[in-house]
This record gives sequence, C-alpha cells and structure tokens, in this order.
Amino acid sequence: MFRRGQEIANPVRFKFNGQTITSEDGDTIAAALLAAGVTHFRTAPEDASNRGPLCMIGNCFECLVDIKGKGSRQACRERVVEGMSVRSHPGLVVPKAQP
Amino acid sequence: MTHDVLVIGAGPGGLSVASGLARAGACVQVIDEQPYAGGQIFRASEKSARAGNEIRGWLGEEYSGGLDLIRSAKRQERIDWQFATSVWDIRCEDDHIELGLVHGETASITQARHVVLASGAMERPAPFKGWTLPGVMGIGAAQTLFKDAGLVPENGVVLAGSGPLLYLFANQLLSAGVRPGAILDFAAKWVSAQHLVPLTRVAWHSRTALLKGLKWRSRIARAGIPHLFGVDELEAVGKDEVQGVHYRKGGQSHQFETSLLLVHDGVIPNTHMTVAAGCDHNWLAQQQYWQPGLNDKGQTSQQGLWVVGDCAGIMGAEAAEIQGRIVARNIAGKLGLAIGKAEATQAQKDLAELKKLAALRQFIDLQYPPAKTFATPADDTVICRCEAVTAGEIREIAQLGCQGPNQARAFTRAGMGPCMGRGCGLSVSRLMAEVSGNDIEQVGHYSTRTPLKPVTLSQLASLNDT
Amino acid sequence: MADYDVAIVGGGLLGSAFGWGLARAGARCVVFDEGDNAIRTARGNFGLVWVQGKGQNMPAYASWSLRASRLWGDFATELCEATGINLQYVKGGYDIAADEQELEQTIAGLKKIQAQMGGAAYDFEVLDHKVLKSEIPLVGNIPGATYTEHDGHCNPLLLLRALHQDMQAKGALYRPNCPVASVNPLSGGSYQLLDRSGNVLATAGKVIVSAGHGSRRLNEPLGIDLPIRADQGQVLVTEKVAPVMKHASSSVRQTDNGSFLLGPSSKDVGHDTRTDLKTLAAIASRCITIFPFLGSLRLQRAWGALRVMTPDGNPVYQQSEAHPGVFSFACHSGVTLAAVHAFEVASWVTDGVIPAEFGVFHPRRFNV
Ligand SMILES: Cc1cc2nc3c(=O)[nH]c(=O)nc-3n(C[C@H](O)[C@H](O)[C@H](O)COP(=O)(O)OP(=O)(O)OC[C@H]3O[C@@H](n4cnc5c(N)ncnc54)[C@H](O)[C@@H]3O)c2cc1C
Ligand SMILES: Cc1cc2nc3c(=O)[nH]c(=O)nc-3n(C[C@H](O)[C@H](O)[C@H](O)COP(=O)(O)OP(=O)(O)OC[C@H]3O[C@@H](n4cnc5c(N)ncnc54)[C@H](O)[C@@H]3O)c2cc1C
Ligand code: FES
Repeated sequence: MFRRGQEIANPVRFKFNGQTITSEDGDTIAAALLAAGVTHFRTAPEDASNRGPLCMIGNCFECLVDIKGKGSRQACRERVVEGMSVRSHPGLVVPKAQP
Repeated sequence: MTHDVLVIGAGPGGLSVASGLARAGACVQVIDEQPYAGGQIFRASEKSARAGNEIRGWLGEEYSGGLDLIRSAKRQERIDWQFATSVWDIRCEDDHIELGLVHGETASITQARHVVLASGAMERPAPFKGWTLPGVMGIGAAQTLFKDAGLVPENGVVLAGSGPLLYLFANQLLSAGVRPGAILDFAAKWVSAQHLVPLTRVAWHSRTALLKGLKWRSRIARAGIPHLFGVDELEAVGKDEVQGVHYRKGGQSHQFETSLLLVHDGVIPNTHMTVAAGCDHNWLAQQQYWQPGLNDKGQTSQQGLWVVGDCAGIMGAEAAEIQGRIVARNIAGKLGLAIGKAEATQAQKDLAELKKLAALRQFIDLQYPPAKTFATPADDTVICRCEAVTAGEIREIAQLGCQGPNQARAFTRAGMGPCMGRGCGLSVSRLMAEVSGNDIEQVGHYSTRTPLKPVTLSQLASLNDT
Repeated sequence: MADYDVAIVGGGLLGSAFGWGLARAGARCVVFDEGDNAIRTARGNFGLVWVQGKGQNMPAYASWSLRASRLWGDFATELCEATGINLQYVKGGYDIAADEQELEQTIAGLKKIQAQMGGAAYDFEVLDHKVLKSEIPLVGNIPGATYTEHDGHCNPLLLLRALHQDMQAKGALYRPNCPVASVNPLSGGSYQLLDRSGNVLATAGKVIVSAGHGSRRLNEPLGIDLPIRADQGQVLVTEKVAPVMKHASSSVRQTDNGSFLLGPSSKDVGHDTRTDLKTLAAIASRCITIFPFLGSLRLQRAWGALRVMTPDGNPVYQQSEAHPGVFSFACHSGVTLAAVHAFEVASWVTDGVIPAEFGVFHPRRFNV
C-alpha cells in the first residue's frame, strides 16, 4: 500500500506480533506498520472483520493496537519507542491479573 | 488559574489566536495532542524542516509557508506550549471552564476564564460498501502519513471523491514520483452554468487560488493519469483487505485493481468538543454539517468558550489565521488589554479579507457538494464501523418511531463504540431524517460525553489524589 | 366513546411496560413521549434486576421487588419470543465489597430483608475472598462478596427497544415527539390529553401519568401530589473485555458485549446530567480496588442520569380520588419492576382500582 519516500536515517526497532520491525525514529506506530506492509491492525469485536487505519488523526479508532504495558492505543497517535512490543488488537481486551 | 486563556489546537487558527493574545499582553497556554505545532495543514512542518529533506519539496510551497507562522508564534514569550497533550474533558461553569488533560501517562485538570477551541476539521465520513476493509483510507489520512513520516502510496493507488484536495494530493504524489492508477472524481468536469455567477463574483480576487486548481488538474492530465469525472457510486472489494474498486459512472459499472483506495468527500468541523461543552449548533444544509453557533465576536453560546478556524465551519487555513487575529482582539478586549493602533487598522483589513475568502469558499462548496451516494447508503452498508451497524438497521428503528439519533444509539449501539459517533453521527441523523421526512435540524445530533480523547481508568482515578 | 381505553403519558421504562402490558391484555392504548433529548432515565441506568437493599424501610417494597425478580425470566423470554431481541438477562448477582466495612453493611442489609420476609423466602450466601477468587479469578485483594439468586442483570436499552417494538406490534400506538401539556377531565368520566397549544391529542377512558421527572407538572393541575426529586447517578463504561464475570455486582458489571459498567454514584444536583471528574475518579478508584485490571482499560464513555426519587426511596402508585380514571406512578428501579409493571400493574388500570394490599404505596404515607 505504502512505501517510504526516503530511506530510514535514524532506525528504531520494535516488535509487532513477535516480528521485528525497523522504522524511522519519530514515526507513529501506524506509519511504521504501514511502511512495513501491515494492513490488519485490529479485529472488530462485533463482526470479527480485519480493520486498519482510516483517518490517521485520532478520530476513527480503526488503528487500535495493543502496546505491552500500556493496553489499547491508537497507532496513529503513539510514536515508536526502541524495544517496544506491539500486537494487533484482538477486539476484546484479554485482561491479566495484576502482580 | 495560571493562564488568562487556554487555546486548544496549534494549527493556523490556534497559532494565530495565541500570537495575537500574547502580543496584547495576555498569558496564554496552547495545548495540542501532536508533538509539534502546525495543525493538519502544516503537520510535522517543523520536523521535516529540521531534517532538511526532500519531502517538503514534494508537498509544495503552501506547506513550506506554514513554517513562518509557527516560528513567529514560537517567538512569543507569553505562550506556554503543551504539546503531546490531549484534552479529553470539558465542562463549562458560570465563571470558568475546566479541562481534563492527558500528557504521556499523566492526567490532570486545568481551568481558565477563557478557552479558545481551534481543534480543526475531520474528513467527512463516507460510508459505502466495503469501506471497512483495510486499504480504504481518507486522502487527508494518506497526506498525514506523507507529511509526518514521508510515506507515499505505491503506484496504482486510486483516489476517489471530490474537492480540491483530490487534485492537490495527486500533484503532491506526482512530485514524489508516484503514479496514481486513477482519479474517480464525483464532480463534473466543468463548472456548471448555475455556478457561473458565484464564480465570476470570486474570479478576480481569488484568481490565484482558482489558477492553482486549474494547474493541478492540467498536470494530472499531462501525466496521463486516468481522471474520470461524474462518478456516482463506489464499492471496495477484497477479502481481508482491499483488492479492487468497483465504480459507476453514467449508469455503467467499471473496476480497477488496487491495494489502496483513498477517498475524500470534503472536510467537516470537528464538533465533538463543542457538543460536549453544551454549545448550540446549527445545521448547514448546503455543506451537510453541524457547526457551533457563534455570536459576532466568535463566542459560542457558552460564556468564555470561543471557536476559531475550521472547527467553527470550513473556511480553510488562511481564514483560520484571520479569525484567530479577530478573536484574539475580542478576548483581549474582555480581559481589559489595550489594543495598539496598528492592530486597529489590521482589524478593518481582516474583515475585508475574510469576506473575500467566504466568497471563494461559496464557489468551492457549490462546485464540490457532498456526494449523494455517501448520504444515502444502501441498507447493507455498515455506517457505524465500531459496532458494525448497517444503514438498514437505522432505517428499521426509525420506522418504529425512534425519536432521533440518541434514542437510535441506545437501541442499536451505533455511536457507542470507541470513536463515540464521530464516524456515524452524520449518517444516523441523515437516515432518520430520510425516514421521518423531518429536517435534520429537527432530528438533531448525538450528544457527546466524556472522554473526548482516550484516557485509562487509572489515569482517571489518579485525579482523586489531586 | 373515547379514542382509547388508556392513554399513557411517558414512554420511558414505566410507560412502556404499562403500554406493553395493556396492549398484551387487549386494551386499546396510546403512549405519548417527548423527543430525542428529553430527560429519559430509561436510557441512562445500570441495568440491574435487583432486590438487595430494596425496601429496608418498607417490607412491602422488598416483597414487590422479589416478585418482580421471580417474574423476570418469563418476562424476558416472552419479549424475546415476540421480538427476537435477547434481553441478555442473567439471574444471580453479587455485591462485591471493596473493604470490610462495605461487606458488613451488605450482610446486615440482607439479614434485615431476610427477617422481613420470613427466612427461607430470601436466601443469600457470603463468599470470602478465596471463594470469590475461585469464581472470579481477577478480583483484587478484597474481603469478599455476597451472592443471591434473586438479583440479576439485563440490557436495559434492549428492554426499552423490545417494549417499544412489541407494544406497537400488539396494537398500541406510540407517539414520539408528542409531549402532553395537560390532562383535562371530561364530564362523562373520560379524559382529554392536550398539547401546549391546547389541541386535543386524544381522549381516553383512563390515563396513566408515568412521565418520570415530567409527571409533577401534569399532576399538579389535577390536584395529585407526587413528591419526587432528581437524584443524579454517574456511570462509567469501559472498552470491551473478554469474559471475566457472568453475574453482575451492584456497582460493577460486565455487559454482554464485554464492556464493564461501573458506578453509579448518587448526588443531588437538580436536573443536571453532566458528569464531573471528581465523581468519575472516585468511582474508578473504588472499582480498581475490586478489579485491578480495570486500571489499564480505556474509559469508553461516562454519563449522568437522574433517578426519580421519592422521599423514602420506595415507589408511588396512586389513583386520583377526584379523577378516578387518572393513575400516577413513579419509582426508582424501573428495570427491576418492569416485569410486575407489565404483568400486574397494567391490570390494576384496566380494573380501575389499585388492590388494597398496595395501598402502602400511596404518597399519603409522607403526610403522617
Ligand atoms: C487530515 C487533514 C488534512 C488536511 N490537509 C490540508 C492541506 O493539505 N491543505 C489544506 O489547505 N487544508 C488541509 N486540511 C484542511 C484543514 O482543516 C485546514 O486547512 C487547516 O488546517 C485548518 O486549521 P485549524 O487551525 O482550524 O485546524 P487544524 O489545523 O486542524 O488544527 C487543529 C489542531 O488541534 C489539535 N486538536 C484537536 N483536538 C484536540 C484535543 N482534543 N486535544 C488536543 N489537541 C487537539 C489537533 O492535533 C490539531 O493540531 C486538512 C484537513 C484534514 C482533516
Ligand atoms: C444512574 C442510574 C442507574 C439506575 N440503575 C437502575 C438499575 O440498575 N435497575 C433498575 O431497576 N433501575 C435503575 N435505575 C432507575 C430506572 O432507570 C428508572 O426507574 C426508570 O428508567 C424510570 O422510568 P420512568 O419511565 O419513570 O422515567 P424515564 O425513563 O425518565 O421516562 C419518562 C418518560 O416520560 C417522557 N415525558 C416526560 N414528560 C412528558 C410529557 N409531558 N409528555 C409526554 N412524555 C413525557 C420522557 O420523555 C421520558 O421518555 C437507575 C437510574 C439511574 C439514574
Ligand atoms: S487511524 Fe483513525 S484513529 Fe488512528
């Protein structure tokens, strides 16, 4: 769908569904994933369909992902951080017991 | 209260109102959820300037010009900048307005006697069959990726819808070396006879803008990109993501293969916050959107709450800047701050300039009306993406005497999902009007409740300790 | 002859339950309702079918609630069969305590009801932390809960929708956007309902005034006293979560679609439905104590709604002495009582008399 107009200058690495993705420092998670060819960001809880970013400005919530330690977040509003672990959003949050 | 005025949004409108107020001697705080100033039009302008990269060149002069506005605002010492901070709650009291903020993982509450909303616009949601497939996005969304991350669509991207942004974006893509597969234009190729009168009215003083539009179009033609006018229906097809687009034109169906379908049906004011604040709104029938009712000074029906820029009604970035100056003077007056002579002469010029822009906008609005097909989705089209509610379900409950969009939300869950009705609000009101035969003004709109932006329960609970 | 046997003013949970019950019994009836932005508690409540805590100062209300809870299953089934709408009714409810003091209070309250009802009719269990944790593994470090079969929860929005849908299918006329301004007694014993401009909306042999916070204004000219005030409740709802708990607790419940409902608060702020951050923060804090995982969830929405509150918190059912065809009904807990409103109260109106055993619900009790 998308490609980078310019080569990555300051690489940042993070995990998406266990796979390492290299992106540009300062990218939104959505930009980094789209550049890496990811289209399926979340599964809609109501009809189990695949969804991906629509608006890119925080309005539609179609870009929801699960960030380890933070929970459901909008990929178009959060920026990549070296070493972070991101998963596609399952639709229903799977809660974990707090230590 | 530590600030005289809080400004929400650091786009052209917010930057201008904040600069004006700071120059008049007021203490201002500007809050924006983005990490840098510029709003939608000049998004990431500072970032790409620092990198000194090619992207700025591809985006064009207008984009680069935004940097001056940002830099001049940043020189004002009386402005306190709060970036990466979103406003998720607003509550109007008799003598002040309270805002709930989140910055990073921390929530806080702030208040001031005056708040200016400069929170801009959003692309008009355009429901059609298949629009929930990954790979269907807004043109503005793709442009945001371009500005913010230098991402460009791959060759063969299809642009569909109507409005000048279609042409601007196609030009930006050509500059970046991307060849769109097609442009499916809902507008007619030439200005229709009935719009000639408003066109001649704006032709001379808006000649630069009009010429720019023509230049964009001729470049698309010269590049040999298929530009189809008078398209009237769309369908995205694919299994788990977009694989192609079907469209109708002159009663005939055609199709293109593509993995990315970018759609644009104009922009509408982002009224989420003004509705939540309890402001009165008017329905603008020609452009099919709600806008907050403002007095002649720019103040909403709520004491101390002001609106500038596209969230007051779509007028574009230049108008946002002018409105910002005007509202800054009006608030300065309320705060008892003196306004210099130069400012007073500028006030006259501003009003005249705003009039011209309004005339140009009237022409654009006539030439690029909201597409009918998105306003009258078929029964099986999903209109609430979050809760997967179809147009047919809304029609069904409207027939049962459901009074309006708020009861419809309760009955169907449309508008109850994460986007809180930003995506389906207009559709639901329109469908209910269609079935009941009432005007949309009578049917009304969703009410909006907190939170306006995401906040977690522990962030909320932390306010207990403050 | 009057246009209708019964005209009902108010299409909230009370009016709709009466309308459905009457239409089901074959009465010709019409339900008048206001527009989309009216104060409509039916759209803002917590969805509990609840007996605990009811009628601690009036045994008749405790048994009335218990009767409603016993009928609820049949009520939900009948509505579902008629409309295809599943009301998501789940029988059995906890009262999870955030601390020791809360637990003691709950147990004391339950014992009181039990004594009033004569023991076995009302049973409950006390679950300590360990037992509760075995039932709901995600509970935090809290003392425990009570559980009773008599409590439960449902989807109150679908309840309203099903009632609206099926009362119309059964022949009742629903008139939205049609506020009644006054009720005018006619000489032959029937009544006219008028709009603001004095136009006659309908004539009816009997009238039920069940217009929630709008009832007082209609009652006053008829000489009917209805002592109600608004008690504001704020509710939070979270993003959707995989199944954690099936049964509701009085202040935390997971809905069928996965989201958690938290609250409701109680405050006297007049007719103001706005939320405030202090109240929301307090609800969030308490619920995080009960379920720590809630902390990382996104708040989806919060709202305020106005309870119809009588001075003692118990229902008011009355028939006008001067105008015996006019009934005025008001209560909190319209979800819980919907089953008895539909199955029993509707027939009081067709019979034209409130049975003597329900005389305790007359507001004359406030004048002694
Ligand atoms: C995606 C998109 C792309 C666009 N691109 C162009 C373009 O290239 N050229 C053009 O002429 N016009 C474009 N427009 C139209 C644009 O709306 C105006 O031209 C111009 O940006 C309006 O300026 P403004 O100051 O009114 O608002 P904006 O520039 O939209 O600024 C609003 C600011 O408010 C912030 N904000 C909003 N809500 C909150 C909140 N709750 N908390 C904190 N901050 C908040 C936003 O982050 C944003 O920075 C675009 C519109 C959209 C929606
Ligand atoms: C926060 C909160 C939580 C609650 N939780 C529960 C719970 O868990 N379980 C439970 O059982 N109950 C609960 N309730 C109470 C329950 O919601 C109410 O008992 C019930 O909705 C009341 O129904 P009603 O018909 O009296 O009022 P409403 O639902 O408010 O309906 C009144 C109707 O009358 C209409 N009306 C008013 N004036 C006129 C007029 N002049 N002409 C025509 N129509 C008119 C209004 O538009 C409205 O539709 C809760 C309430 C609140 C506020
Ligand atoms: S893409 Fe719409 S919210 Fe992120």
